[in-house]
Amino acid sequence: MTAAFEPRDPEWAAKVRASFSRQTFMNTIGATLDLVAPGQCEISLPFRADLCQQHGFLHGGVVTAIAANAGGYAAFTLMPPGTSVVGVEYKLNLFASPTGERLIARGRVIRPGRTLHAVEAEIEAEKGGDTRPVGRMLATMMCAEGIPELGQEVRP
Amino acid sequence: MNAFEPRDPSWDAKVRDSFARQTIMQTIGARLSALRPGFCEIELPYRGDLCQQHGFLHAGITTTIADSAAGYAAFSLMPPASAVLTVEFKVNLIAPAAGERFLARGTVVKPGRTLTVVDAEVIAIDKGDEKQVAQLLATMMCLEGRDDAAPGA
Repeated sequence: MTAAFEPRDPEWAAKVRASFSRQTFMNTIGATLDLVAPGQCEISLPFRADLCQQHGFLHGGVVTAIAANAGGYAAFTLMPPGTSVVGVEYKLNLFASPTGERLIARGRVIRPGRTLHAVEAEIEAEKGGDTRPVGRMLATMMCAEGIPELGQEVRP
Repeated sequence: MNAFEPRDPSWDAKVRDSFARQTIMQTIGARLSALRPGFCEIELPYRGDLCQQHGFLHAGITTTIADSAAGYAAFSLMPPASAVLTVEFKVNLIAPAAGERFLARGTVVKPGRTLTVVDAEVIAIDKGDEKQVAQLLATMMCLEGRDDAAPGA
């Protein structure tokens, strides 16, 4: 399914993990980076009752957060050294309520480009060992050149 | 903004009740700052624990408040004994979400019996200056005969 992509940065895995660990929001919600491969990234989130919408399901914004990150970091694995990844836009379809113990987002690159990368992410809910699809994202990620990822702190 | 006619006399209370049940709003510190038929605004002060890798507000948070603002703008026009559900949305991230606080303003474009088209803009306020950081276009679904206040609706 996934084409074999050739990373342009020998530090592709380390830089993705370092960037993910600087995302305070991922720590706040308890999301983990479970898999990083060239053009691929998986993030999961155990269910938490304090991240819900009005019916007790995980909020669509939380689904978006891990899906956009899985897609963004899938793209980032293929970006050259000294660059940064920026989300440009995404479309998310939510087709089932995210019930269960865990939410998993699997991101993959569809087409890498010099500036823009087309990526997608599937979101699945895990319940009692079974998984079922709950959403799908199609996104555009931008490679921002000359903005190194590491050590860039721009907190207002 | 168009003048929309709510179909539920309790539109204001039901939206506020539903918002109060969204645990994530409390978790991130967001509040419902304005509500009119077909319009909803949510305010969120910046917090260092809601960021992406560069210290800007995470797109998932921007989307969280935009989605809820859009959903509640739509819900304000839905009939009694119904629930609101997000079907899909498209978000453009226009600028880094830098600022002291953020406002998500949801406005109904076209209310329908089952599907409502709604948009939301997210504005960053930084030292008095306002800048748009994101735009969302969404489809919300009205689940008739299902009380929004029922758990697992």
